[in-house]
Amino acid sequence: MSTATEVICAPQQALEALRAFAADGMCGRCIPCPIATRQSIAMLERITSGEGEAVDLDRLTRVSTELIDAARCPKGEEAAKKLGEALASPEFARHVEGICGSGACAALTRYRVIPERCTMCGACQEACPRDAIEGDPFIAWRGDNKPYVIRLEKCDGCAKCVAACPADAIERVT
Amino acid sequence: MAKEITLHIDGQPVTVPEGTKILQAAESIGIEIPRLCYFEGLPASGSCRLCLVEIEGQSRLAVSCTQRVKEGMAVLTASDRVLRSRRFILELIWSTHDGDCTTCEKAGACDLQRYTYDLDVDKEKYGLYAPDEIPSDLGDPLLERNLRLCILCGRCIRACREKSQGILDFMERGMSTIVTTSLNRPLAESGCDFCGSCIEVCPVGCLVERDRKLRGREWEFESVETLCGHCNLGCTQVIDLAHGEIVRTRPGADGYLCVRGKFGWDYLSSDDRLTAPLVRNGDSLQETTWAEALARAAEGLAGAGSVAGLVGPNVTNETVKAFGELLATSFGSQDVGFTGGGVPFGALSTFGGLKALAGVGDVEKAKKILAIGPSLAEGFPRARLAIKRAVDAGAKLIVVDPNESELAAIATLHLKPKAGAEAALLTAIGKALVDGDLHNAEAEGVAEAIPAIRELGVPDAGVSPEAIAEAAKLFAKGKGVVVSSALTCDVLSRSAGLLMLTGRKKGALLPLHPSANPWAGVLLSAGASGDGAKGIYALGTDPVAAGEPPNADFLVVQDLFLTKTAEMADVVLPLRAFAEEEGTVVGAGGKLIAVNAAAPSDLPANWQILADLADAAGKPLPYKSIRDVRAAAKETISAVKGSLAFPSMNGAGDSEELRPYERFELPEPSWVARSQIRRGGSAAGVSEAKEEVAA
Repeated sequence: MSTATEVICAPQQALEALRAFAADGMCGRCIPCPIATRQSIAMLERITSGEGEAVDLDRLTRVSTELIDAARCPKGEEAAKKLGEALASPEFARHVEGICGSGACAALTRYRVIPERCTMCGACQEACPRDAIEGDPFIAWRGDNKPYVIRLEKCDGCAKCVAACPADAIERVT
Repeated sequence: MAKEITLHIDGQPVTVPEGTKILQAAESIGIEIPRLCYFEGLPASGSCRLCLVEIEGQSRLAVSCTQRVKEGMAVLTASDRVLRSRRFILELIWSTHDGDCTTCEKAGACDLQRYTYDLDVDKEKYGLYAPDEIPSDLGDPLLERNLRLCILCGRCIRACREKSQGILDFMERGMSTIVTTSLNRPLAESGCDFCGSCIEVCPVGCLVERDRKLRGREWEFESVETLCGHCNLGCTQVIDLAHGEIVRTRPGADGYLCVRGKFGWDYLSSDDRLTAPLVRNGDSLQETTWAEALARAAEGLAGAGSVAGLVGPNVTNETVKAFGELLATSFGSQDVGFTGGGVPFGALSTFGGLKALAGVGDVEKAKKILAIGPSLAEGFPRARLAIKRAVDAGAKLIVVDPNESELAAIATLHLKPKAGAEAALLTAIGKALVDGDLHNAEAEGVAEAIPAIRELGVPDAGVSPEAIAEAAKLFAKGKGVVVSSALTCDVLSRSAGLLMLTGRKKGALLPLHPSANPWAGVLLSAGASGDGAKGIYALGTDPVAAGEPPNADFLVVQDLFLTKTAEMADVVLPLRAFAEEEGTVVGAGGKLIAVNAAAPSDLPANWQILADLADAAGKPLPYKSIRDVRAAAKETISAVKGSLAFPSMNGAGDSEELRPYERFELPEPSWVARSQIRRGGSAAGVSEAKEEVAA
């Protein structure tokens, strides 16, 4: 999920913590703990893939507060507390609005070509798996050169164009 | 006496013995704390977290089903924080539970449904359950396991462990946890004995009987409690009817039925049941009216000259009594035999009579148990459970069985006699008791018996003298019982002898018999031969199947089905089954127990048929109602055995009381109280029992 820059946002952090709890710490013998964890993981997956809704934030907050009471063992309680700490970050609300901001959630990250830097080599277009970059290579004698632009509705934020660009001419906009 | 603790629950003061759990303390003052994993009678696991309560001065919520009361504690069972937590848990459960109550068999009796209503839970808070790869039916026989409904409360796991084979458990872990058998094998391949104990405790619709599916809703059920008739251990059984048909049976107060009691009721509504009388017309039997059949039977039997009767052990005392009276009054015959492998009563007659008989309660409280006979555990699961419970409580168990068995595996001592040498082994143990001076010399009749026993040679039973001496030593002292599925006269009389030698005369011998009323033979004057009788009347017994075809000029058979004997008969009369009759039985423990007509029947009562036959013969029976028959039966039993005990409900000593059924408290689940329990609604018998008690 994380991009070439290896950054991680608050929802991703919470997601990783809960996945680790589910894989290792949780026994699954109490009723609330496994269901709450499964539900929270599903919600965080939605949020980090751009499908989160405001109601998910309410539900997550409810898990983080109520599971402290409902869990039997310190492990469950700790998982709930960690979730609660993560939820304090304003990043959650922004994710639901469609912005990751850190580049960690590809689905919530968009790029643009900086015209001033672009050499119109076409490497980004070749690298794009979704055919989201329009434009033609630079031909000196032509008067109607089409500069490269990233069509945001096609882009999924994979950032392969960023890695491919030799001129460092692509920047993150959200 | 335990120390008393006083605490406050929701502001109400309550005083309970030390060690009581908060949940029970609350219950004692009528406060019900919601619970899904806790079940009365099973160990608490504290895993559903629904019974959390707030204790003043404690930061954490407390699990009320596991936490003990403390002096001065102030408990809040429904504070805002507690309710918030409960709703949260229920919201979560709904996201993993297939929530279509409209087609769920358990609707109306589902704890999840009830709590959801009571707490006004938002079922969709965490999204509705979407069917996934979890199967909705694991395909087991008799019961359906729908894991889409499982909420992982673990009650079935504990019930299986406590009452049966312990084959269920949590499998996998974390979020993949499911409740199933080892390696998720089908029940039939996992050692399940299909007692259905898991079904009884399931709070939701995950475990249901296949036979009840789509037969009626839980709130339409009419329930009648009676005694299970599949053996003589006398488990209470509730029969549920929907739209006049049996749809399910379940345990009564005892909380346990074996596979036969739980699932073995289909014969009652079988299409093969006899529903009308048949008379012989040449080579075939033809359906006819009651009047004609009874006239033919009366005429045939009266014309036969000498008449003998045979009656089986699966009918009530009243039927046996009326049958004996019919033969005597109407056909002048004292020749009435009690068949179908009835327990040889003579074996006991010298030893305390019916009072010497033990019930499962005596076995559970015993300190020493001598269990005799092959297939005891398999044939009588309730006896197995009683023995296991006693062993868990520290009882010493001696198993006499040539084969390895489930009980032998938990026995203190396993004796393997040669085939058929059980009685010889018991004699040897008796002799070892006397030789080792381990007997109770003061006990009645012992002093006279000792010289003869000392003279005895040790019979060869194929068991080493050391093992026999150890058995004698083990069995000598403490509250001891003998449980035997070997019903030969020899084994029973030797067992009685062992008990006599060790001074145990009450509630000490439990012969296991696969019928409901094997002691009803005491109602008849003993010693019927049937030899030479020209007319035979066989009721509820199939001598042909038993290899003793009756040789008679005129044969009347009354039974549930067209048995081999019935096929030979001149007149065949239908019989009401045990579950369809009100009356009394001589139950295990020698107690006279009232049973209800729990299953519906269109037939006349059995005693009524017999009375009508007497009328047809022109010599009516001296009974006007079932009450008269009962009084006569009771009188005979009391006269035959002066020592016969009529225990009162609380078991405190002997009294002349019947044990009326309606006084049993049904256990949880609480919805039982809501369904209409027709305990004795039709059963005039119960109200009569009340009158008798009053009188």
